[in-house]
Amino acid sequence: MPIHVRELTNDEPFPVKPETNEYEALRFLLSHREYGFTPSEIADQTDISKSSASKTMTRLFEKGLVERSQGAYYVDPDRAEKLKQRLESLDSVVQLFESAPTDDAYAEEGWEEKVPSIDPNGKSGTDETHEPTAEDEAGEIIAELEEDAVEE
Amino acid sequence: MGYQHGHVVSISDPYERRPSRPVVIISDEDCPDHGELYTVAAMTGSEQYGQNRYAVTVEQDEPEVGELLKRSYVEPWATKQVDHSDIRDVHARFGEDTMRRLAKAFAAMVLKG
Repeated sequence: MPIHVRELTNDEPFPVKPETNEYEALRFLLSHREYGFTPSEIADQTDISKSSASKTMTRLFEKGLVERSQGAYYVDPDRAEKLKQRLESLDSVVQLFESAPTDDAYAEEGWEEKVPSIDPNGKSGTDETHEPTAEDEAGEIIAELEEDAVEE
Repeated sequence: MGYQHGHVVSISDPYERRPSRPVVIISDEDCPDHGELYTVAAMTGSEQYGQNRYAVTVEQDEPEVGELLKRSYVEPWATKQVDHSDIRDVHARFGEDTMRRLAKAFAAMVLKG
């Protein structure tokens, strides 16, 4: 049973890994969202081989990420923006990992267990009763920076 | 479940080869699509990264809620926008003073001063 893309946004890892045929095919369909393509046409316009294209598209279809009609695959226009957002986020996360240093305690297995979870909805003690504008706040910070520079 | 400005959250490796990475959320509800998308700054425990002039040092017990694995460094030069679903867990929340130091590092970087 395909999973609706909205449900895929609920704490589930995106079911497509970067640098795979599925990723490339989905990115291609999102870039050409006005059209439907057969697996052969997708193979012609991407690095996916003709022999892999059908299986790739079937997997994307079974995961509920693409639609199929008359042998052509396409992205539901109502879901295209959200899917694009997911792929962009995936790219961002890959970059975060690629740029991470190796001499890092956070690169060691099991660090998450050593730092307990907190309640994300817990109240902060710093909630302000009045709301200064972003420009006001930035101005204060810049003034502090200038003071710091004078002190140095 | 939404995450908030100042939360230290972990993000999973899409390849599932490595442990997750910590980041701090720097966007808030005034930003478009907050709750679906978050702007985050990378964090590290690497002393070498911590020596960068824009790195913001945060002590292990400094968060207002929760704590860090060890003394850590926020990297203002490494910001990304990530989807809500790519966040796995929330470990701490920075207080206003910490976020203010981070804001100053951003301002110094942007102003190149």
